[in-house]
Parts: sequence; structure tokens; C-alpha cells
Amino acid sequence: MNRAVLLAAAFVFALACAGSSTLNHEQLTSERKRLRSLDAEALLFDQVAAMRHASRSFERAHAAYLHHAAREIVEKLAKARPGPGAEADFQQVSADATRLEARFVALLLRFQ
Amino acid sequence: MKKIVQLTLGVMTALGGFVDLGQIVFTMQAGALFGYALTWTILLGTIAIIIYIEMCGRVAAITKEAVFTVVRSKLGDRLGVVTLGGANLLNLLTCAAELGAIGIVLHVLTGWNERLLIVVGALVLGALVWLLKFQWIERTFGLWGLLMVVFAVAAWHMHPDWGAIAGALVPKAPVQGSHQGLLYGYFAVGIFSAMLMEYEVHFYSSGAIEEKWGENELSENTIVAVSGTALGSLVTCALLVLGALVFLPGGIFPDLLSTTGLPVALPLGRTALLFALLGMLASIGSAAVQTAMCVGYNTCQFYHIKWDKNLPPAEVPTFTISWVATLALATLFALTGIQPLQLVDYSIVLGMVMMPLTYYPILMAAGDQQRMGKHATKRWQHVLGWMFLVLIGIAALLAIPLMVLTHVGQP
Repeated sequence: MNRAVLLAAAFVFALACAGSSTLNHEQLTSERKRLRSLDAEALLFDQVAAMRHASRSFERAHAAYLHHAAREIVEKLAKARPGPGAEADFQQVSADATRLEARFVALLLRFQ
Repeated sequence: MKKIVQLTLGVMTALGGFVDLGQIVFTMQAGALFGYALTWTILLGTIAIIIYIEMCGRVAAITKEAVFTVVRSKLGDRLGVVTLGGANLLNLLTCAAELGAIGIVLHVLTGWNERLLIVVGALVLGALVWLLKFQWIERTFGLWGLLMVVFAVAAWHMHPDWGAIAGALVPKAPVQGSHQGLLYGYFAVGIFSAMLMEYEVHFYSSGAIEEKWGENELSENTIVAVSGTALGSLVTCALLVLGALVFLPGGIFPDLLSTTGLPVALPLGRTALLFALLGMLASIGSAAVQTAMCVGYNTCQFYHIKWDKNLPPAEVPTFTISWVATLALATLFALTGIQPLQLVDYSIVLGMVMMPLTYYPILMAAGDQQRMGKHATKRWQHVLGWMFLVLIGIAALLAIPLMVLTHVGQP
């Protein structure tokens, strides 16, 4: 009986934690790297598109995938809280993510 | 010409087997993070898979036993069932990941709805397997998969530093920083594992029996094992080189499937990009077909139930129901929206953990003097086989800790 109560409590706790998480410096560095990678990839994609080396359907689909990837980061950050001492870093990464997502919306519209 | 067409079993096994979704993205990511530094893992994986593919083809040709018949006789019923369950679960996961990736590639090609394309892709693959004889399945995917050579052409076109690539054939001490070192280990194990995915040997040995290989086909077995694998390795090297040349300088970590087309489009243009996408479709489709069929092959071989792709489906009901059910379940799984790249990452690592249970029985069966007679493995091959089995064992032990510590390979 005791074990069942403990398991149920652990389950409720896990559910409660599932919606939000705390991001420390290391995790924020990882998110920043992902943002930089997406940013650089968008530049490469722009280059390929400018050279007319990709079909319209590829351009449309890839722009949408890039936007989706950026949006996932924004949503993850929106649900998360900064770890102790990582508040400023968190704000910076969140702002960068929002800016990148906005840029990718423009990219998406360009290829529609 | 006939001989060339006969090579398609090797080409299909290699291109669908180790140049599948996981290898395409994994290898480009490795190139993007570490340049040419992990080339040695491709060399190591190539030698290992040639040795083991040749062994299981030889065992199938001489004893008429495919891998899972051997697994049961060498591991016993209990451990054998665990191996069968693990292999079939991995096949299901891999098949689902490949079908999800087919949806992405078809969406990029046509712009149509991705989920609809997953269903269409699965139906087309199912119809091909249902309608075609085994030989035509392997010829279709083997020849279609040759389009993947466009990645090698793109890599060649970008003038890589051949000296640096040759230098990277020798393993060097990992890069600085503990996280980078762990990532290096994760990608080394991952590339090695993706090249040795179990379903390759399951499919190859079943194919040898489907094609009724005997003693006369032993030289063909060696040629098919070496040439098919060499071609697969060439494409894998090209993926690494493209990752190093196109993504590394910009700090790009490619974790979208469509991104892997950019290094071909950049130097070679639109037609080459189309070839690359069609080649990926062939490799990924081939992997989906192989994994689905292997569930049928493995189950029937383990329980000594009649199986033969060349017989009408109704005459081999267990085999037919197994592969159809796998394809259907994998389609449903893919439709849940699960990320194919994440799924395949897990299947590669879990595949590594299961690997010793597949490769040990093959090594034992091929070296069995009583059953193989004069065709038993030569001493030097046996020693080499053991060396690689030890490496596989070490990689199997490291796979899960590395996956956890690197957050599934996140830089």
C-alpha cells in the first residue's frame, strides 16, 4: 500500500514537473549553440536559394522546417525557468530565440 | 551484365542497411562537429561488416541456415527469444523512423501533406514487397540506391584535403573538453553501430537463402560483401566530408533531414539535389523494407516456420502477416508525429547494445568445422572476427552511458 502511494505521488510530481523545467548555464549554452546553428544554416540556405540551386517545393518545405525548429526552442524557453544565477543568460537566449523565430517567419513568407 | 545485377543484394544491403536515415544524419553531424577526425570509425566499421556479412552469407550458402536459425542453435531457447524480441522491436522502431523520414523527403519533393505521404510511402513499399519476387525487390532498391553516389560526386567537387582524410584513418586522442570528448565517443560508437545494424546481416543471409546460394556462390558472396559494403562506405565517407566542408566552418549542426541536401545543392545545383533526395528515398525506403521483412524472416527462422518471399503470400502466412503487421504498426507509430531522427538515434544505440547477441552466433557458426567443413572460417578471419566482437562488446557497454551523458549527441 505504502509503495503504491509513493508511486502515485512520484507520478503526480513527474506530471507537475513535465510542463516546466529549469535551465542552467550549461543547458542555456546548448540552446544558444542550437540558435547559432540555425542562424548559420539559414544563411547557407539563402545562398543555395539565391543561386537557384533548389526547387520551390524544397525551399518552401525547408523554410518551414527551419521555422518549426526555431519555434520549438522559443516554446521550450517559454515553459522553462532560469536556474540560480542564470537569469540574465536566460533572458538573452530567450530574446535571441524570439528574434530568430521572427526572422524565420519572414523567410517562410518569402518562399510561400 | 548478369554478374553486375547479382551484386544488387550487396548494394541494397549496404545502402539500405548502413546508409539509412541514421547514418545520413549521424555522419554529417560527426563531420560538422569533428571534421574528418572520425574517418577511422568508417574504416573500422567497413572491415567489421565485410567480415561478418561474408561469414553469414557463407553459413547460409553451406548450411542453408539464416542468422536466426543460427542464433537459436548457438544461444539456446531463452537467450535466443530475448535476442529475437530485441531484434524485432528494433526493426519496428527503425521501420517507423524510416517511414517518418520518407514522409519528410516526399514532402520536400512534392510539397504535399507529410502525414499523407507517410501513408502513401508505406502503401507503395508494401505493394512492392507484396508483388515483387525477392530478386526484383533487391534489384529495384539496389539500382535506385546508386543515386546516393551524387553525395560522393559533391564531396569530390568540393576538393577535400585528401591528406587530412588519410591522416584521420588512424584514431587520435579525443578533442579538448570533457563534453567534446564524450560527444566524440558518442559519434564514434554511433557511426560504428549504424554500419553494423543487425538487420543488415539478417536480411543478407535471408537473401542468400532466397536466392538459393550454394557452394558455387561462395566467391560471389565475397565479391558481393566487399563491393556492396565498399560502395556504402564510400557514400558514408562522402557524407562525413560534406559535413566537414559545408557545415563545420559555419558552426552548423545539421539536425533536420532536409538540411543534408544542402551540401549537394550548393556545389552541383538543382538536378543534383533532386538526385540526392531520390537517392535518400531509395536508401531510406530500402531500410524500411528490410526492417519490415526481417521481422518475418527472424520469427520464421527462429521457430522453424516456412518462409520464402518467392512463394505466394498465402503459402507463408506467418512470414506475410509478420512483415505486413510490422509495416502497418510502424506506419501508425510514424503518424503519431514522433521525430524520426530522435527515434533512429535511439534505435542505433539500442542496436549497439543488442549487437553481440547477433554477431557472436555468426562467428561461432562460421568457424564450426563440423558443419562448415573446408569452408569453415580461416584462422586469421576468426582472429579478426573475435577482435571486432570485442570492439562491438566495448561499444555496446559504452553506448547507453554516452547517450545519456551527451543528451543524445547534443553539442
